[in-house]
Amino acid sequence: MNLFAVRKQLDRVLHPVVSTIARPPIHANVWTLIGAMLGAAGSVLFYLGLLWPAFALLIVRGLVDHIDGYKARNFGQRSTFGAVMDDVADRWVLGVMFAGGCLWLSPAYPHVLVVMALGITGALVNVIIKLSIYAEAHQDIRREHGKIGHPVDVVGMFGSAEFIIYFGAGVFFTALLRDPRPMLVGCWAVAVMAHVSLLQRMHFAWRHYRRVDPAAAAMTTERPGEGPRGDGPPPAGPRSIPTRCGSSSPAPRPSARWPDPRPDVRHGHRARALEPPVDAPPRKVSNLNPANAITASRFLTLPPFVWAVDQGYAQIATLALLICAALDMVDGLVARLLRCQTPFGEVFDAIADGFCYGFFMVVLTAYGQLPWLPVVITIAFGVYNTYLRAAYARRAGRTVNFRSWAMEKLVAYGGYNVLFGVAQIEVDFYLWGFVAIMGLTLVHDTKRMLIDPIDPPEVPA
Amino acid sequence: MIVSHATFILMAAIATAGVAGWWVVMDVLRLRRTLRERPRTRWTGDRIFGSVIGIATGVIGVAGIVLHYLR
Repeated sequence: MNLFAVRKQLDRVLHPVVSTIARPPIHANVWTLIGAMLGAAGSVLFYLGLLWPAFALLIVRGLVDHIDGYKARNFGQRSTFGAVMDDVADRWVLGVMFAGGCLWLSPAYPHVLVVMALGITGALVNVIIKLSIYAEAHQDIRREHGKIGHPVDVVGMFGSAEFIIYFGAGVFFTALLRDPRPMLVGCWAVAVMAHVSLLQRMHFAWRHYRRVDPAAAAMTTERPGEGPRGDGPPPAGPRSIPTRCGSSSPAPRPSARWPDPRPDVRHGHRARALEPPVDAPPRKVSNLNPANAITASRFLTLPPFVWAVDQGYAQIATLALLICAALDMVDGLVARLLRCQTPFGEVFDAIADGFCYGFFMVVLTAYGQLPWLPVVITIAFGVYNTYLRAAYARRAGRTVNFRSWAMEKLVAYGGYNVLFGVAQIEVDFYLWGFVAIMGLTLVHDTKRMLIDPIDPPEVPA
Repeated sequence: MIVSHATFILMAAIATAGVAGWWVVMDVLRLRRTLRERPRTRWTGDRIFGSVIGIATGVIGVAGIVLHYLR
């Protein structure tokens, strides 16, 4: 449980203050923007070590976060854009304020930069798992006065309010005692509790959804004209649904062949599979979509990596590698969340994997940090694997990324090889081990891609 | 330098051994589950092979770290 569970009670306590401040004719979205600007200013103050004003901004920003919601709900200013920006601004502000505080502490405690990375990663992954559960288990989404809600909201010991308590308490005592240690403890608390919360949410997902077939659940709840976060029934007439992931398409009227399954679905345990209406238009997804943009952004990590290796900054090189690997995980998730999976995206992802990790290995070899022979063999294997995939796509007659369970594991191993090169940990052992396993995998995949009949699309396990 | 070199190596070693160990456990469980699946398809065969490769990768990951600290 987190403080989100007592949000109503907290709103009641804050109501007199919030309603008074919300009187001026300022739109809810402008309040969100004001909150973001206060957060940005607060992060600068934290960085400069002006703790009292920064602490004041942290608290005021928390209050402004209440005001925009109050204004939207009570002044008819609700919009999906506002809800999205409120979420985004909230996370962004907490991230930059936390970063500002950590950067101020870093000259005295260099390890706090790692704590900062852990804290921000933990917080971001908490958001990702929450959105992922929203998307994958949208049969449990409810709306109360327009505000979206899900059982996972109250799971986890870390949320925005908790951040203000952990981090704010540290800032307060540091400012009061003129001793940086309480703030250091606050930073540690944020990093640790974010991960504890993450584990709690993973446990929640495992407990409630491990036996739920997402395909069946999706079929029961996705109706034309009402997305997973639809607010009530769809409008009577066709409407355009513009999306960055797909071209605008008219939503057909609700069909009698698509009955409302909600009474039958509680926590997804009894999801029924229904056939989609035959008149539903095919959904077109552009290749210029957010998931592919994230995949493309992985290439931005290459120049910093070269610079770091050139300068001998092993840890910064590792950071570039970690960002590249993290983006690899995020792009797939974004593609699923925003439903912008495309055949091109799958192939592009595989190309980005091969190119980025191959590039890292070549750079490390050029700087003498990896032995050249296993790297050359690995690259030759990579080229051969690309040829196999192209041959398979030609046989299948469509752009398709051949799925290989073993090769997916080797991609992660390839990333680790770069880490071993940067950190100089048993480089020969790991690289020759990689060559042996990749060779074995290629023999297996050669048979499947060139000899076996074309596989039908896999049904998710 | 974000942390000392010794701390960096230690963190890299923990990350490697942790992930590799976790991988071994997960793939052993996955392999057991896949081996029980009936009927067997080519997808099943690929998953079995993938799990075996996953286990081998995990064992190499842990072994490398042990080797590093034994030397």
